[in-house]
Amino acid sequence: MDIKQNAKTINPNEYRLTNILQLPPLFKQTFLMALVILVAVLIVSGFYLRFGPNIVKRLDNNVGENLMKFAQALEQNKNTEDAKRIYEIATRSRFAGEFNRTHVFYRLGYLYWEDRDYVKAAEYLKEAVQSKEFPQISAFEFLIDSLLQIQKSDEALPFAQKWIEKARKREELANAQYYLGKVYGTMNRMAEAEEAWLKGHKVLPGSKSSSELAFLYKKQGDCKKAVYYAEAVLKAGLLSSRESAIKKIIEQCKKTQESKTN
Amino acid sequence: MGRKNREKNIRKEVVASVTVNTFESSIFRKIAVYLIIPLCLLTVVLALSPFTGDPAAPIKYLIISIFVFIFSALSLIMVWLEGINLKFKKSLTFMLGGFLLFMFLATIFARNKGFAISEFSIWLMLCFLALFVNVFVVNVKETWWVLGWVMVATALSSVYGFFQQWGIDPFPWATRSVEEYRGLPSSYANPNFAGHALLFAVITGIGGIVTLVYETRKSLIEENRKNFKLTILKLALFVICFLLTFTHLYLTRMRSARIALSIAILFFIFYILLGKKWEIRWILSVGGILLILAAIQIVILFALLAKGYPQGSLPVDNSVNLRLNGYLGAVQMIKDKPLLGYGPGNYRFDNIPYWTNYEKVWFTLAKKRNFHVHCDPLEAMTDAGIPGGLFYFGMILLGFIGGMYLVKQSKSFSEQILGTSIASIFLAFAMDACFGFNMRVPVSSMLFFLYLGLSQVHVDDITLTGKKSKLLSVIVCIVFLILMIQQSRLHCGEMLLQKARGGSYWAQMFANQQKENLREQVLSKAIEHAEKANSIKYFEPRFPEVAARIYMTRNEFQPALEYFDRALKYDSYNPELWTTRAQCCLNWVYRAQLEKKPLPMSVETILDEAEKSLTTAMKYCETYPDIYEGMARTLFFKSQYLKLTNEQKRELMEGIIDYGNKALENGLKESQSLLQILIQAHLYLKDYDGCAEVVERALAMEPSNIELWSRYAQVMKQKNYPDNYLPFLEKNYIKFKRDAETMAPTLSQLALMIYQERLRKTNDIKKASEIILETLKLNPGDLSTWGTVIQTVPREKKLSQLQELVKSLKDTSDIPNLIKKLNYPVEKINWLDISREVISELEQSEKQKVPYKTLVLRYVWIAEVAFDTNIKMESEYKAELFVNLATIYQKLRFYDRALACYPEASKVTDRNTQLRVLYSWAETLYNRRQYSEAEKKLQQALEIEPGNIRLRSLLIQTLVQLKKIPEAKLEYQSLKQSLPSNSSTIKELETLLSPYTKTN
Repeated sequence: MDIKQNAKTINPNEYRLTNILQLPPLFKQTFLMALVILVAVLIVSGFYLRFGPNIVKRLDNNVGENLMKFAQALEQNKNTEDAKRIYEIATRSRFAGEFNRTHVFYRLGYLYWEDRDYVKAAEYLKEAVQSKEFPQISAFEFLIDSLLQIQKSDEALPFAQKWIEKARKREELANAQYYLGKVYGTMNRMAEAEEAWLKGHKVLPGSKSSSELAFLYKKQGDCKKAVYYAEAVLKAGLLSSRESAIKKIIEQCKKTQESKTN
Repeated sequence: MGRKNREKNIRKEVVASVTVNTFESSIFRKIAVYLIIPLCLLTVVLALSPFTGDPAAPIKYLIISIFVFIFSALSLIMVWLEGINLKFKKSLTFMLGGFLLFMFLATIFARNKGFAISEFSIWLMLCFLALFVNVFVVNVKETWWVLGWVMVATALSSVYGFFQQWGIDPFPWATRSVEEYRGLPSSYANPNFAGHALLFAVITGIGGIVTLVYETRKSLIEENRKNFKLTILKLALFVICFLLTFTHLYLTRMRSARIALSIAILFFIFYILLGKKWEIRWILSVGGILLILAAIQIVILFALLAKGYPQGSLPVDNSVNLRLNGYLGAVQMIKDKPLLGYGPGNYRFDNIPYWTNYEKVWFTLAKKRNFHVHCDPLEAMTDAGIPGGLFYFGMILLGFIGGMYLVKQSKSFSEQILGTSIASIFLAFAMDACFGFNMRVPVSSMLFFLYLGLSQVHVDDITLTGKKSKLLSVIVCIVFLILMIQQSRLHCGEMLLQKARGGSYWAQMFANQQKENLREQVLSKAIEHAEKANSIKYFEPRFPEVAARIYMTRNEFQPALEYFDRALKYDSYNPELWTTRAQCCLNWVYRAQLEKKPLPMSVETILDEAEKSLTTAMKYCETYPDIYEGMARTLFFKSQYLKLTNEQKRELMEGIIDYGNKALENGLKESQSLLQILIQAHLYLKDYDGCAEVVERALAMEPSNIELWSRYAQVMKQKNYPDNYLPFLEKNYIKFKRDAETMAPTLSQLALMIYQERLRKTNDIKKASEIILETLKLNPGDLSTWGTVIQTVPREKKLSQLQELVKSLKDTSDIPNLIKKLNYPVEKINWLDISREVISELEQSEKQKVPYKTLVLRYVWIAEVAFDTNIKMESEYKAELFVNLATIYQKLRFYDRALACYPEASKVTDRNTQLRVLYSWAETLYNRRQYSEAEKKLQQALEIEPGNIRLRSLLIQTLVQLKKIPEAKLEYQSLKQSLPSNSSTIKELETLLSPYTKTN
């Protein structure tokens, strides 16, 4: 009875609609698989919703370049305390470029050097110069100075020698020779110090090496040589802050020579 | 009954086969396949436009809309002229329909409906592209034909990419030094986008090469020479295209594309060797299991990472980090609106409240934000909710399964390779989509839908044929005609916006070159373009923002604010927009105060608006330093321009210091103006230690700023000149001495400060003067240094001391001309000539934007010496000299001294000069609020020239200040008659008098 009634009620339009809505097997198969993928994605998303904040928090400190830029902006605004804090976080981060990583170590070391915290400065500056690909040549000066300040001249020596190998510009090489001499000087190896400064003077007459030689020879009583190097310093005009001391050497030497002739 | 049915079926089949034959041989279908589709591929892949900000997307979408319209027109012709009933594959139609349905529903409920509609229209075009391609392409040969053109188009684009690599690129890119350009954006405008599109070409290339190698061998065996030659040619073409696209893909350095390619190649090998023997459902089941296992692994990895394992920093770089942060926001968005999402393309506007701390910092540092999730499945769900995501997966799977079906159905190796290639492409696309937005980029999205259509060509599926296909084809054609017009309009809007931007750029250039008229013209044009662009693409916040910024450049702050509000209507969480809106309010108030112009609303209301904007910005990105800078400036303006009690002012000043420090902590760039505000705040609070710190900070940033040094001296005076003051000065003096010539004015200012401090400490003028003389020896050619030296000498001895110094520097050749001219006996000095030279030098220096303090150091002493020497002397040019001295003093803002010069200057006999003197005199008196005196001078001047507009205008202003309103109104009415109604003078006076007109 029921079946008969149902058969009567079906009209052609309804039949066409059901035909249109009839799902092909390909669609069913695809849809089912899409559903599986969707469920998997939603499960992963759900867990990410739960664990994500903690993961993201961990990643916050993990991006070297961005932290570096942030610290640079702070440094530019002379907010060195915050800059140091951010640089320190950056040192523990991953960098896209090795140069940026060593640059962060260099800036951090430099800021500590400026604050006269030489122990920390040396620690960071060592990292800055030790990269094989991109050592920060500018960091050598502050590193050696920091090591000398904390009386670690033995440790400073290989860095000074490495600096000489890496230096490309004339000024840089002259500076490296000066520091090498200074390291030898603090180690009481005066002959080697003199040799290094002589090389420095040869590379750039009138540089810090020349000034050191003037003082060295004055101390040794060799006024002729002292005046020679002191005059080289004055002539080059590279060391304005040392000029008065250099002039003093010349004056004293001249007096000594005059007294000798008298 | 059974026989009748069979007959009926046979008749049906015959009719169907006739229809198929007619359809296959249709000339319009062939035009579509052999001409239009290749043309579409070539133009979409290669098109770039220099006339829009984004050189790729707008033009490419416009081209897609044109081609989809052409396809719809061809189908219309086929239905109406050839009587062909187009057949659509049911699975494909349902899947695309489902995707479009949820995108449409999401569009209805989107916050930025305009943007959602424009995005939805793109989806509509792309989905129909898939349908048309599926209908028009009928066999494997045609499929390979289309795929061949995909290879050719992408290979040509890669060739262009290599020209970029070699530095030969005729396209006028905005910049070529960015990392993105070095990744060879080619005609895709971005290396990422290139990577997405190249994946299609590389995998197709592999499939093509395998097929053609097989066919070459076959023709060799069959000894079919003609076929062999043709196949070799095809092979050579495919190899070349493959090598080009593969190298390009390699050079883009896109990791996700590499991963996707590796997986696709693995699948390709697996499927062709082993998988094709398996049932598709088995492959899907294995895939499903692998997927679930991967999901479990990911979940475990999440848990471990969240618990702090592995310890130490994670090996994640910037781009991965940004993605992981972005995903978190996207997942939260899906959780908040799981059903219909936020509407197509609305992620970029609605994502800001979900920013993580890292995203905020990224925005702060790089002023960048994600416009896409960088994970297409998640973006599909943020756009159209979870159902939208379901159909998104469905579309990819349909392509994947379609490819595998082709392998199953075909016996020929070539067809099997084609199927495997298509399946591999969809797999690669899905992998690539996990880390990018390849379905939202014109070329890769077009390729996706094209391949989707092709993947279903060979699938045995139920087809949909409508009885009303004629009507349907007309509707579809009309819809795509409308969409094409809409895309053209949008493209036109983009072009207008670019013109407006160009106008701003040129206005900036002309401003630097001091070409005011040109600047004004260019800005007016730019405004015109921006307004037109806004009328087209009103829903895109970039458009009103550009218009607002141009209005700001023109100092038209009210319309600028209106445009900012329009932009914020659509991008209501954007912290940068809110901050710029606040800056607009602040600039408006500042400008009005500076020019003494009335405002249409109270200063308090505008400043409150600024504060509200900044508070909103702070809500969304508390790490953005400009917000705090703006807040400090708002509070400072409140303290300056509002009537407040001392207690309220104090509170504001404390607030300024608080916000200022936050701005600096967060890394504010260009902080000099903020530091000036902070100095004022510290001074108000009498916190001189804090003030000194701020000044030192400002000096560290701008050591050559003389005004800062002089401010430093003032602060130190308040601190009673602490012991570290002199060493600090000396340290800096030594530092600047190394660069004496360029730092000359600063060095002289420092020398003066050191001199004063030494004098204070030792009282030994000779010793103190040493530094001054040393500075002069360093810079004998610098006039500001001479000014400094002379400033330390008593008034009556200035000239004689100068002459002595010149004598002592006789060997120096570069003594300034003005000094040389003063090195004569008093009676022989040509004071008039000197005064003229000073005026001309002053004018030149002003043009060169020489700092004010430097100008004072350079010239004020010369005016003083001239004044003192000539005031008692009588000469024929005395009046003229005093006119010049008054001008010098006025230019140097020494108004009292200028007032002292006017009595002598007014004795000048020349009528015009006398008028000028009286006007300047009156103006100076007006500026010093000596209004009655100013009125007298103006009346005197008007006796000489009663009709002078400037004099009358100033008289009206003076009368208003004196509250002589009836006289002012009378004067105004008479002036109004002699000037055109649109004159700016009339407008200004009208606003000045408006309060009195209203009360009457």
